[in-house]
Formats: sequence, C-alpha cells, structure tokens
Amino acid sequence: MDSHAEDYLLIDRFLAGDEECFGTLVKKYQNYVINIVYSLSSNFQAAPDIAQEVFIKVYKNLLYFKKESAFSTWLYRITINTTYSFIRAKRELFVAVNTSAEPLRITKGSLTELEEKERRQLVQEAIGSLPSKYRTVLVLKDIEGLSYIEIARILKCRLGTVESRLSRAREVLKRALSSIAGKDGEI
Amino acid sequence: MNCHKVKKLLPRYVDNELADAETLNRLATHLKTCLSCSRELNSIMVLKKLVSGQERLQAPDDFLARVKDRLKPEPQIIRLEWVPEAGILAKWLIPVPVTAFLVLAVVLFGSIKREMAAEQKSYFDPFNTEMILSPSML
Repeated sequence: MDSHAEDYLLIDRFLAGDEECFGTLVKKYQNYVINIVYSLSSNFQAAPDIAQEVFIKVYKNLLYFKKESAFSTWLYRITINTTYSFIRAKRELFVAVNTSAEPLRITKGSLTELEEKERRQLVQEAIGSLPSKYRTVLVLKDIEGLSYIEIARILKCRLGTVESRLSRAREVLKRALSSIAGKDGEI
Repeated sequence: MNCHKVKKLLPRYVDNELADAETLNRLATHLKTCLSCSRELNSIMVLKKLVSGQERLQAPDDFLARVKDRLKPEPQIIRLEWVPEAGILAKWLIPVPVTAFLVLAVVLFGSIKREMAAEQKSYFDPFNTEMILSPSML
C-alpha cells in the first residue's frame, strides 16, 4: 500500500470513530510539519506550538477533506497558512526579537572559520528575510525536497510559477549570502 | 544548445526535474566546454546545499499528548437566563430609576420651597390688614 492510500485508510477509520488513527497520522507527519513551520517562521520556540495548532485544525476539518489531493498536500497547505497567520499576528514581536539578537560577525573567508551553528543561523535569517512567496517555494523544494508538481499542487499555482519563484528566491538568497565563500565553492 | 538555454535549464537539472535523456546529454556536453555555465551550475549547487543542510528539528516526545490535551473540550460556562447583561444594566436598569429619582427630588424640593415661602409670607406681610397685633407689639 502506498503512502497516500495508507493515509486515506487512516482518515476513513478515524472518521468512523477510531481516534487512534489520528494519532498515527500525527506521528507520521509531526516532524515534517515542525520543520516547515520552523523554516518559514525562523522561530524555534514557537514551532511546536504552531505545529500543534496545525494538527488541531486537521482534526477539526478532516471531515471536510475531499481526497481530491494527497493528504500530505492538504496538510502542507494548512501548515503554510497557519504559520503565516502566526507570523502576521506576531510581526511586532518578531522584529523585537530580531533586533535584540546579537548580530553575526561574518567576514569573507572559508566556512571552516565559522561555527556550524552560526552558519546555519545566517542561512536561516537569510531565508526568513525572503518575501513569503519566494520563501515558501524555497523551503518546500530545498528543505523538504518536494517536486515542482507537488509544490504547484500545494500552492495551487502553475509549474512555471514554481520555477520562476524558486529562481528568484535563489537569486535573492545568493545576494544575501554573498559574504560566505564556502569551502565547496563560491556562491 | 546555447548558454541562454542551458542557464534556463540549470535549476531543473540541479533539482532533478529534467527527465528527458537527450536534453540531459546535450546539457552535459555543453557544461564540459563552457566555464560560465559550469560556474553558474556550481553556484546553484552550493546554495542548494547550504539551504538543504539546515538543521532538522525533532518533535518533542509529548507532541501528540499535547495535541490531544488541546483537543479536550473546555468546561462549559453556564449562563443564567435571568441575569441581565451588563449592556442592559448600563443602558436601562441603572439610568431610568436614577433619572426618575432625580426628577421626583426636584419636584418635591420645589413644592416644599413654595410652601415654606407661603408660610413666611403669612407671618411677615406688613400690608396684611387682617394681621392681629399682639399686645407686646404695641
């Protein structure tokens, strides 16, 4: 049984009254959801809470899931919408947190000079500074490893739109990270 | 295949979205001889590696338990039907009796004052011919 058929079966059993099947779905997707939330929001502390909110919405709306798409497509869509709602609601707080953080002192040089944590923080900040439409596509492609067609289904847009947003996201990110000259080669 | 076309196809190539074998071959042939396109390819690959190398989070062990806790129905607050809402209190139940009391107080005060004035007039009107003078006044 493939993953989609297995999800549909779990949903049917949950709707028939088997609550344990909802738990199985949560365990299957909880790490994907938390990582998308974190990648989009750059908020480590809030990511589990937002992810919980996602599954609460799933629980309350599974009855209306029409199986016109894969469950994961529907779940990712809810995850993205919930995360951006959270970001909008907490925008002022985010600005406060970002401005109070110790600025990273990155100079041109090889990656071996940088702490791994600092490098990841720098990349995460650069991702977080992207406009949401570019950030979403970049996260779904380069962090979650989804295909163009899957991303197009989640965002309900054309393949060409996915491609152009991804290219644009990489251009902007390249400029933002131009101070890093990686050991693997120049950006 | 020229550089313009190759550079357009490079993101698909890096993202494993190019399935056509002939296109892949032509692309590979071009990359072997073109330094500019090879640099562009390397740049995209490094960037992709930086982004995809981000730390993966693990859900806390009690994640499902927390979701289930938040799904438990909250205790219902029983609202008694006869208790007037604050809006009604503020709108009618407080201002109407207070206003009525004030109007009544003004009317009563006015009538008492008039009566007192009438009484005072009867005692001290020097032109009242019916006034009986007491012997001490003479």
